[in-house]
Amino acid sequence: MQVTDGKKEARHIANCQPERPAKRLRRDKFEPTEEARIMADVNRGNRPLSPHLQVYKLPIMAVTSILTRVTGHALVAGILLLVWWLVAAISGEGAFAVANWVMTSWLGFLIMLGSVWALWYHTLAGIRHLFYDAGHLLELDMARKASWAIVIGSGVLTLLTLLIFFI
Amino acid sequence: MRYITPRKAAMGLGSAHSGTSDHWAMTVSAWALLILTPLFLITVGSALGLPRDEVIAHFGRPWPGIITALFVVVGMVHFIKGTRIMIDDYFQHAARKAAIIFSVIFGWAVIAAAIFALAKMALVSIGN
Repeated sequence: MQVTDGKKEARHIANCQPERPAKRLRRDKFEPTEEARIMADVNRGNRPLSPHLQVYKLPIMAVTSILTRVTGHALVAGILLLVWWLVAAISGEGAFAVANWVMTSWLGFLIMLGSVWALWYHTLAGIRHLFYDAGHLLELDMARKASWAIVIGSGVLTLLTLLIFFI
Repeated sequence: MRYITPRKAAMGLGSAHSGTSDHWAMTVSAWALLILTPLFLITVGSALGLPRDEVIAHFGRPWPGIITALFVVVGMVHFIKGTRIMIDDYFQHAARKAAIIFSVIFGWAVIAAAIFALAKMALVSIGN
């Protein structure tokens, strides 16, 4: 009986504690907005806070991770266009004229440019996967740096490819 | 009666009953594509915009032909296994089976088309 009462009392004291500043959970600078503070106050107590999808900001590692899958699948458009162009070249003059017109049109150029970026992005993200598999880059700050390296690196490599082959 | 312990029978097998072979295949094809991607970009980049006979002559040569063929074959096998992971994540039951069947057929159709075109280009180039 004594023990139970002690526990109850401890919990009561804990609930009466003045509001403590939110603990820093992430290593980067996290400044909750005014709305977030109000929402957090609503949930004050011992209930866990779950990230609400509409207000939850995806970390850069999550964004770059899902983009790996997106770029991988989007690359189908580029390779399909390319294989069509190759088959058209051996099919005949008319077929090649159509395929070549599509390839060199602004839409074809956009698909090719997007494919080049997607190819470089997927390549760099794939390299990161090989590092992950070997047990590297798994610390939070290293994973964040690698994510930015993929984003910036894919842009730079796309620009280089564009400069070399299209201009 | 099997003279093998249950533990030995389960070694290396996950819930998919194929162990880590898919993951290993993705790792191997990823390394191959790492080498092939720059070569492929050079090959295709230098052929885009050329007239038809020059495109055929370009891919009829050994290096552009082999690099393009390898990239399409390894790339599409990588694609088939990659979509399989995506399909397993997002689809269930009949839709999953249909999606897997479609992705495998589509992948190999692209490979066949590319190999046919490249082979014909190589043969046309011999004639000239």
